Amino acid sequence: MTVERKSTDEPERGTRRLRLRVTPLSVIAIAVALLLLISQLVVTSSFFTYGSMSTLTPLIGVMIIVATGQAFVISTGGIDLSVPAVITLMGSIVLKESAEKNDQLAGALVLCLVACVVIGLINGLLVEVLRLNSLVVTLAVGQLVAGGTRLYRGDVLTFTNVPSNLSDAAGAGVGGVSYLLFIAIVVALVATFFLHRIVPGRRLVASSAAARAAVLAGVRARGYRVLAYVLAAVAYGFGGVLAAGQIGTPDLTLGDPYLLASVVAVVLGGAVLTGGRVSPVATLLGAVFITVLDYDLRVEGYSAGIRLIVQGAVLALGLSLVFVLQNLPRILRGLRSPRATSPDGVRATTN
Amino acid sequence: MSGDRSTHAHRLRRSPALAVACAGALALLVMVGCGSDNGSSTSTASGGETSTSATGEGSTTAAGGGSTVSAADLQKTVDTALNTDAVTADSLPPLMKEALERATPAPDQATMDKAFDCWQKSSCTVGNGDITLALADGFGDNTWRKFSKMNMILQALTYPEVGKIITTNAHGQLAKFQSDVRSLTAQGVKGIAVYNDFGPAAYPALTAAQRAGAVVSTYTGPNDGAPTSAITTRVQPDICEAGKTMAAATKEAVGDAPVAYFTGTPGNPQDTAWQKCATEAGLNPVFKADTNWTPAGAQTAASALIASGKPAKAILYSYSNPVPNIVRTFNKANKPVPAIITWTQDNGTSCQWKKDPYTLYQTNAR
Repeated sequence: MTVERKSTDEPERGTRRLRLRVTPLSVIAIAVALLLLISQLVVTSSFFTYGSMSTLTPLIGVMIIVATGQAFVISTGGIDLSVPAVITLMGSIVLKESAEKNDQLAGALVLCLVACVVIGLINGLLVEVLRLNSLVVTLAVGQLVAGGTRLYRGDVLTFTNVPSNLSDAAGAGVGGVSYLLFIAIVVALVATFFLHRIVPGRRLVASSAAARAAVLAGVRARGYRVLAYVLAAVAYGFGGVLAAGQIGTPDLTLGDPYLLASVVAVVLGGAVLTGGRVSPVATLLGAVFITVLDYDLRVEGYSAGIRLIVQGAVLALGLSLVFVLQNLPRILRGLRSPRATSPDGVRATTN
Repeated sequence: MSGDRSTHAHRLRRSPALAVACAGALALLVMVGCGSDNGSSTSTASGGETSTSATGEGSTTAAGGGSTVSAADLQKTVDTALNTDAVTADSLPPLMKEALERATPAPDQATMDKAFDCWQKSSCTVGNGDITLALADGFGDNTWRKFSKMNMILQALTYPEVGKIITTNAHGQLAKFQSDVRSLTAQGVKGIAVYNDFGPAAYPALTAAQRAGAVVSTYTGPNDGAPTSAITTRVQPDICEAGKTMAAATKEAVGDAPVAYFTGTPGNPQDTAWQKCATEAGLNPVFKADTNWTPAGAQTAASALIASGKPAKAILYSYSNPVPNIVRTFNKANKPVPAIITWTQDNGTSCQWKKDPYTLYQTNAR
């Protein structure tokens, strides 16, 4: 996502240069670079050591995958609050269906996939077909899934560990960097390729960024927007399975850390919550930023209260920054000649 | 279990859970009108060494008004419940002795079926008695709490005066816990057994319940300084003593080396209390982290400790359940596992330790 779209109001040359350079992607890339630098130089000198990387990169990897799913939904102008419930359900399915046996893992994964598709379809159909509010729908579906998970899981689980194949795979890495991070990068790149190079992906983008235009062009926009919810749920499920493998003993709190953080990551990636185009790569960087920031605060020994405040502040600042970047010309013009701009002159774009 | 790969002798196993739950249930039942004592009582119980005291006219009469339990069988129960053979049944306070007498006979199949039915449901009718008994658990999700729930149900079933049992689980949410207690009061519950995970924050709800005519008895959770308006009886460990015991175990394991404190939910009164006493006992915490008592939280906390570079040689953590995640994190980072000092016990932790030993102390609260 950029702010390079030509406007009928030709700005001054200096402003155009600014518009060409300052994009949400470039801003979050610089922010991540600075944060990594601060992490190494200020927070802990052992940030880029094997010990830190081996435990941090799996967290980043799962967050990237989950945030990529959230990005699909946010691109439609919705928001998905069923994330924690879906992730937790994945952990329970893996535990219960595989019964710690590697040869039963495949069956568990198939069930995970089916569950995710069903949940995504329910979310998508309720939001896009019945035109219900996504916040309420996904919250309600999340509650349903959470309750169902408790019943499905039962009071006392006989098995508490995921199969060794899954935990070994999720715990593997090279040079201290978890394979989960590489997998997540691949997921983000595939999502980018899908959205920009594959016809269904481009139609999904069109259906999200300009739904009416897409409909007039003959695109079945509603169906593609439902697809966004399904893809998102599958991404949460994939992240959930990997998180379960990485934790080894997933419990009913497995998905809790991903609710606010996944939204923050997408916003930091330059998305606006009213919908529009999203960049999986920028979302990836947003996920890196929010995970490393939280990690740094933990390393510094800050309490959960401080970390929540920081997450909330980052979300607010990120949203403000996206607004400013996407409306920079109009803001500048408004500052220079406030009377020439109508009260509606400065308004968030949804590209 | 010796040298640097040892586990502490005092353990809070299922059997002490039996002792705690039985004592709690009995104390509550006595207060709501079962048995022969209507006086107020205060009990403290622990796994390794139990000191229970009862004031008033504590009854030692077992179920049905007369004990049919042989002294040998009772002693066997006492040994199992307290995880030691150093305490004789006759030396126990009357209240606790009666609780264990009631727990001694093996329940018949019908009783077990009824107990299992109650354990699965949130409400069940067990007889024609006019007393409705409730268990309000602040966080009833781990195995220990589920065992405690069953222990309490089985104990309650020995009282014909109990007609209905209701159980609630707040899943660690204070607002739900308060709502649960209000709901129980509205249903006319006469006695509420409570695991109070929320400390003083729960007292207003408990006070309101007692004002409405219910009797509240707590077990194990942090209730120091609780007003009598909130709690009538309590069976609980000395949290401060737990901190001191953990400090002693830490010194045995790593001497005066710096340590890390892992906390459950931020600011919870239980962790605050034992950490304060452990520090006063001479420990030097150089790192603190919240875990929310979850495996993922413990893993992230361990990861942050590794990244911090702080030279903590031991991790003190009240909850044993997520310890395997801490150990796995250190193993994954190719770092030596610090001594783990915890005052609860978990099967997963014990199995992991047995498979790949490290310095583990599972102390107990007195």
